Amino acid sequence: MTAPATPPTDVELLEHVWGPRPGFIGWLGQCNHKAVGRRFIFTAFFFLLLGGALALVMRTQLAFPENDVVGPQGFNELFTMHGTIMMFLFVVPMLEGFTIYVAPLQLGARDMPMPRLNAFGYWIYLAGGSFLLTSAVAGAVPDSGWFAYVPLTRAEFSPGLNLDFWLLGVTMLEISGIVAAIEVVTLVARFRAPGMSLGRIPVFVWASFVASVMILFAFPPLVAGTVLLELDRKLGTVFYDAVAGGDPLLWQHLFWWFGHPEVYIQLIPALGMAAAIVTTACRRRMAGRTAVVASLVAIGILSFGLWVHHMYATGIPLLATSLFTAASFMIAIPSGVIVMSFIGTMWWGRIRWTVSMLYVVAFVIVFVAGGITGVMVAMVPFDWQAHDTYFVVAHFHYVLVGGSLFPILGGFHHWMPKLTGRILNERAGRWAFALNFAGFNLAFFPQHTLGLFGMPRRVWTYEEGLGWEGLNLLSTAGSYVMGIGMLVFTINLITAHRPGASSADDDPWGAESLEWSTGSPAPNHNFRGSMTIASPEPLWDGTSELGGDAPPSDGPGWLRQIDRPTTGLRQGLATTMLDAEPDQIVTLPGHSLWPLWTAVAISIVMVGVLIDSIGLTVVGTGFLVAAAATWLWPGVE
Amino acid sequence: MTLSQPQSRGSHPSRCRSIVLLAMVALTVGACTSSPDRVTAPASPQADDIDGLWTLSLWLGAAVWLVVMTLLAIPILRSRRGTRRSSDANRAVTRTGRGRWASPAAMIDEPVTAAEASAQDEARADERVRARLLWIGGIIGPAIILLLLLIASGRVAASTAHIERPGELVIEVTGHMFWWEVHYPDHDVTTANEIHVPVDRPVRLRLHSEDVIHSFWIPRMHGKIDTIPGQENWLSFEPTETGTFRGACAEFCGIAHAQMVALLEVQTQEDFDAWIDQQAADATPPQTPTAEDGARVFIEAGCAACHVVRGTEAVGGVGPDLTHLASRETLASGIVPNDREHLEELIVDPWTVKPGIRMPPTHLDPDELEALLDYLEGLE
Repeated sequence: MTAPATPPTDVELLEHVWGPRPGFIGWLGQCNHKAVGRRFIFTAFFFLLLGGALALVMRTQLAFPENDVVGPQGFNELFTMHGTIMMFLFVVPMLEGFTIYVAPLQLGARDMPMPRLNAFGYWIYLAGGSFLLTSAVAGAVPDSGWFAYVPLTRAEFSPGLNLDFWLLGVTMLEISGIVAAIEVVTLVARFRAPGMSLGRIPVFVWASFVASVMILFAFPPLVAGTVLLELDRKLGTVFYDAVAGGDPLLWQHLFWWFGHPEVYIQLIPALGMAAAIVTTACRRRMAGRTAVVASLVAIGILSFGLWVHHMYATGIPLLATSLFTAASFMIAIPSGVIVMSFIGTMWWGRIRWTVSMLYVVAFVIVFVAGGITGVMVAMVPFDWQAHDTYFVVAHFHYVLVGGSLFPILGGFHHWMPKLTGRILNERAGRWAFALNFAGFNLAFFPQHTLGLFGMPRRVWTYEEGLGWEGLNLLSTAGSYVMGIGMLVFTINLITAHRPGASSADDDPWGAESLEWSTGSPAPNHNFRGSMTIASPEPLWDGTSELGGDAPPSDGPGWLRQIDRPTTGLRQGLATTMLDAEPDQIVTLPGHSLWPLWTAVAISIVMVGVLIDSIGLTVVGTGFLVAAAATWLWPGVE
Repeated sequence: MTLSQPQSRGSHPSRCRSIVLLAMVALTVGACTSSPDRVTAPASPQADDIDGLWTLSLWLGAAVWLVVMTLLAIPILRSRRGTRRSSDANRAVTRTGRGRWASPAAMIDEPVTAAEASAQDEARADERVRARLLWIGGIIGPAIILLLLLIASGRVAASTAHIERPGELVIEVTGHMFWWEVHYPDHDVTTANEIHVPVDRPVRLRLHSEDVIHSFWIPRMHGKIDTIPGQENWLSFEPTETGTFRGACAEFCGIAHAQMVALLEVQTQEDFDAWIDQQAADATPPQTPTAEDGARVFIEAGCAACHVVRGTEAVGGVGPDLTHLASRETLASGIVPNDREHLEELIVDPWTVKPGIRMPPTHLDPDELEALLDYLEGLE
């Protein structure tokens, strides 16, 4: 170490310190953001395919009038699980996964600020997802829709375990979301590379930050709502029982106070992904970059003032609902600014047609249409007609597929080199894109008309002669086309990772943000050497220092300490909140199984509550306290 | 790597567009189908006002979408044709990461401040275009359209509000799993699923639920309003056309939600008066010996535990009032025609007619069944 021949940064030592322990236990106990992020992304992808498959079964049932592929019970279970999987198990965890993997890299950090909490977030997500899927084995699949309105979901009308599975499973997923949000907020506040002041944070990270703050305000009310409902169901309380003085609308208020911000929580990080892609593909700084960030923040704030627009038909007085019309309209302004920024970026740049860019164009086309129908349903009188019909189904699929799924699929193409070191085939990607885009529009555009034709949502069958046959058949055909598109996408994903497939370069797209300055896939320690960020596009500005092989004498003492971890500690740099000046060295934990045990303990408690076993609940709670205490005990791995 | 590569790759969007065009053709074909009970065929001033609001927002929305798509198409077409005059001058190779492959790296543009001096003017012109896009396209344009729609929406909301009107007919509609109870308080008439109203007279429905949340909706009359336990909601409209108007429960209410149809029969005042007088009377006594047997079966087999037949011992308040069952057009909440065959199926095996219906199957001898059917068909 004292020898003059010592390399400037001891890469092998760094890799070793930041790498996983050997063996299966080592793999299991990884807490590094890259392992956790990848796990989130691929688990969520599995749930995307599962949720999509359920949708295909539903469309098959609705292809013809009086069809009998699945009965009413099966259909109710299908749409409940489709909504629940897509909302809670696919979009949010997928975006969390991308944030957890990509955001530290874009910020020049070495890990998330609390890696064990991060790993816990994944395990509790996996546990919650498995818990929900177990309901199929137990023969008690949730069947009351993804917003589970009371009193239908009270024990009186849903006596089985169906809703208990849903409530407890969703609570676990909420814990996961809140945990990830705490991580991301801390990460963005304190773990940026020196010089990355607030104005230089990439749009994607800004978007993730806004969504995380929203999660912190939006998810706790739903936890409260689900706990109250579970108390109603299990202990006979009457929070939602009108007969005993409770109020069924309380659930709707709590649910939509969560549920409306939720759709923007699903949208905003995806907008950030699209922004990263469009910047790269157009080789230009995002047009009106500051306006975009301000718009994201504005959407984040405004989205908490809209929840009643899901409740126009509940008899809330007209004056109150009309105010929510105005509030809902306001969202269209920042959304308009963002769309115009995308167009402005393309206007100025020279577009390179990668598959990810195609998805961004599709996002603009579809999302604008969904936004326009959104303005329509925000108008109280029209919503009285459109509410709970296929018009609304079409509207929110335009917003969520256009606004979330397409950017996510684009994000797969864009970031796969950084995620796994493999690059997706562009040709197959184009086919998948064309099928997805055409299939999506074919499936969902006719549903607008169906809604106006009087078809309510969540009907498992319809009679002949209502004029709904042709459009339903068209919609089903479209869903199959999209199904084939997703199949092509999945095959592309798998073949890109077959043994012997060519590996990707460090920066295949000529992109602007920091993650592309390191290896593909990112090395265990992410970055080394001295970094100074001079602009929002550090790889393009020509003046930012991007680390690398600087000699040790060049760096300050702390840099030599964290780049040559002779103590075997994982150390990273924390910077100040506004200007990102180097502030302190943070020692981060590595391997730990305690987050996993904590998640297992919570699952045991949930199972205990589910099957009314006080013994199991007490054992689980004891285990939970023990696991959490051991986790927090200094010096224990 | 040359510049031609991205252009040749650019051929793809045209294939894409042809798929989109095909899809649009399919959609147009699909849109030519029509539905008798659609929102866009209003039969009341309320539904007509809402239809007007829809038409306005549709045209404005379509215009906005087309404008945005044009704005989107311009850079796409320009970039595909490579007609940007000075894009080469504006381009400079920038600092690269490690292991970069040649193609894109050679094409990266610098941000505007770093553009070459000769390209600065064009860079500034571009900057102005983008500023206009953001201000006019993103803020001012949408704000004007939204204000227009806000005013239109407010006016329609005022004209369609569920307020009391002079001379209105008040009807109580109660949502049940999975049928509608209809009660005329002024005439003391109770029926189910088929709501008769006179034409050209304001109607106000008092909506309530006995179990879970339902939502009452007749698309050609007005929008939907939920029926919520512990709460009363109002729905008012004034039908201007006679005929049968179909509606359905719009809020998911459990297993048979899809088969909870409501029918609105709009009649002339004379027809309505005749109907309501007939409904106000007690049940017709059985006319034949078998029907008399049927009346006994009705009590003994347990039907009377749930159903009311006014003027008899049947006073169960759980299921629909059957006093004038035979005068109804449909059975099981508007899903099958009211004929002997369906009535039999509904009694013997209700779940084949309507899975999830709360009515239990009734086991009867063939003779008893025929007698019961005779009796029920006589309840004019």
